[in-house]
Amino acid sequence: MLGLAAKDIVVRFGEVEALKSIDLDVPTGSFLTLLGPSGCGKTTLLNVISGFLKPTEGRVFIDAKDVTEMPPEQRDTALCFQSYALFPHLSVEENLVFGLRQQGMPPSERAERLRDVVQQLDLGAHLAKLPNQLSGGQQQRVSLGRALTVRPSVILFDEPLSNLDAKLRESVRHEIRSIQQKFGLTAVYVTHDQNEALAMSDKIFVLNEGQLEQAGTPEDLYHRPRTRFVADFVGSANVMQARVIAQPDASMWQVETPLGQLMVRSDTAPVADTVLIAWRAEAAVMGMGPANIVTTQVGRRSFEGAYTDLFFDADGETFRVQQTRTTLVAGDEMSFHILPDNIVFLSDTVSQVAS
Amino acid sequence: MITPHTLNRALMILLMTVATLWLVIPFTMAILWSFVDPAAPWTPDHLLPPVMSAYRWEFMWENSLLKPALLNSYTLAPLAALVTFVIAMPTAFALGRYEFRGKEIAKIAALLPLVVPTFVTAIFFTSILYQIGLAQYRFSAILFAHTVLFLPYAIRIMSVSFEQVRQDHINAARDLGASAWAVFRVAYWPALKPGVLATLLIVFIKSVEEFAIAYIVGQPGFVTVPTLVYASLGQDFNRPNAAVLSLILAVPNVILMLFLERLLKSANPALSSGKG
Repeated sequence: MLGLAAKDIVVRFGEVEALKSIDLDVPTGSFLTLLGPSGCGKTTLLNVISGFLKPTEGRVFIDAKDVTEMPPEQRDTALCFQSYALFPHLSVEENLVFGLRQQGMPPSERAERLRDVVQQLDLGAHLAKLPNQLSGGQQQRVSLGRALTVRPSVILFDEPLSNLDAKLRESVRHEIRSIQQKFGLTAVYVTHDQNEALAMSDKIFVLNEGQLEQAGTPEDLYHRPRTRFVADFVGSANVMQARVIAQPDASMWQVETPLGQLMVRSDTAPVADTVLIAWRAEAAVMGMGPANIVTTQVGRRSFEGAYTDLFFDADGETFRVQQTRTTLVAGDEMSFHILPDNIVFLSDTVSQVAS
Repeated sequence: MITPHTLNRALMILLMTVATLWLVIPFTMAILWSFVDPAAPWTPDHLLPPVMSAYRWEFMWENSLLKPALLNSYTLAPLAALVTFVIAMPTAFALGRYEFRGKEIAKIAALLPLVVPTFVTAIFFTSILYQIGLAQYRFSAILFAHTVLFLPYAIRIMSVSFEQVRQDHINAARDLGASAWAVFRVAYWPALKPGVLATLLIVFIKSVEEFAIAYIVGQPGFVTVPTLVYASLGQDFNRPNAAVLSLILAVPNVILMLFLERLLKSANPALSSGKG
């Protein structure tokens, strides 16, 4: 069953088309992430779902009920704000039960809900405090708790972790995901951080300039990006132009690239004779292999801790390979190979890319 | 060794001293003068008045227009504060909450009346009052005039207050199903409260001490405390009597000002939570 669905959503602000016909399906209990750079329309879409913005065209359904005309007060959604938006003059406890009070829930039931959420988020020590007496991470939990107490059909997150420091961000990320799974919540999560999107989601929607670029599981998006934008935005893959020169068998193509002739294994045929192909920096395996061997000179080396980035130039473009441990330094010669499975055809036509 | 810290301290102390003297000297003088007994004039060769008594206070209370003046001033001022506040609200709301073309110009235009000297406004205002036939109702005429005159303060303060209301608080409340009233209480009121009190107090104080309009419109029958003070400074100048009157005018204002200061200070920290 679909917890949330949006059909043909178009949003125009005067001349500007912020969303260009978006379709969205979120099965009940699943976690969907809207991923994209700022200005891509992801927050606009979230506002359409929560009811703060009426779409110019299209319908929104929550639990199969058309809610397009419903104001946010009546929609069964709860939003976690980037700024937390806790009511500063109300105690943590009052913030947590705010939604329940609005529903007119009897005090005994209210206390029960509060107890559940407080226990789940470990907020017991802070109930009497005011929000500004809490750390950023604690405020974030109160904000999450305030949304959880009303047990919404759909819980929405608007970049909730962007104000936290890196270490905290990772732990809260897991916490949000585990709570979502435990309660079986239908969640829509907006972020520009690809790591967050990959780590948390059941499904990711990549948006760019108001349009859906690609939808899929995190693995799908990462390993089989369909457009240059996705390949680049999710994990900055190496993208290069390729000319198809032969097709040795049904799912194998031979292409001419800046790195020489390469073999690409793909279930889908390239869209044209000259196409873009993408491969991940970590798909490069040092040393000889069955095919696609590249020998080049290391241009620049950048140690990132868990791995090291090695950059090299070919045909006027810079490429990146990633190694977990390497003694190679700038100027060294290196040889690596890429498995044909790890190279994908992108669907952008080359003329589009050039423009 | 002069560090920024010590310099800061020194300047702060200097400022406090000047400000204190600014208040203390005139007030001390006024208080002393108001207690001068008519039997023994306070001549320059005495540091303090030779004989002190409450005679002037009793005299002014019994034999001047002080009683009607106080009544007029202190019914006029709260009414002016309320009416001004109510009339300023829609403009302030629009300036504080909406984006529209020409907003900055509208903001300045709303403040323009402050630039014109009150006496000039008063003279032309009176002629308008005569034309619309309001001049004979002196109380309502002055009330009307004060409302117009102090509207810029109210609009300015309230529009800043409306700007302080955070959209995410409004959205959060609505998202959780709050009614319009609940949204107002939880998102608007905490941000507006200091501004509301400040507006009411400032217009109150301004109205209580306003002279030009009260004088020009109210002459000759209608007295307020300031017109009485100026009158006793003019016609039959009597320093001790003027001292009594000016104290009656000034002391409540100073107390209100201090109260206001505390309000504005105490209100701010509660508004900040989270970032962004």
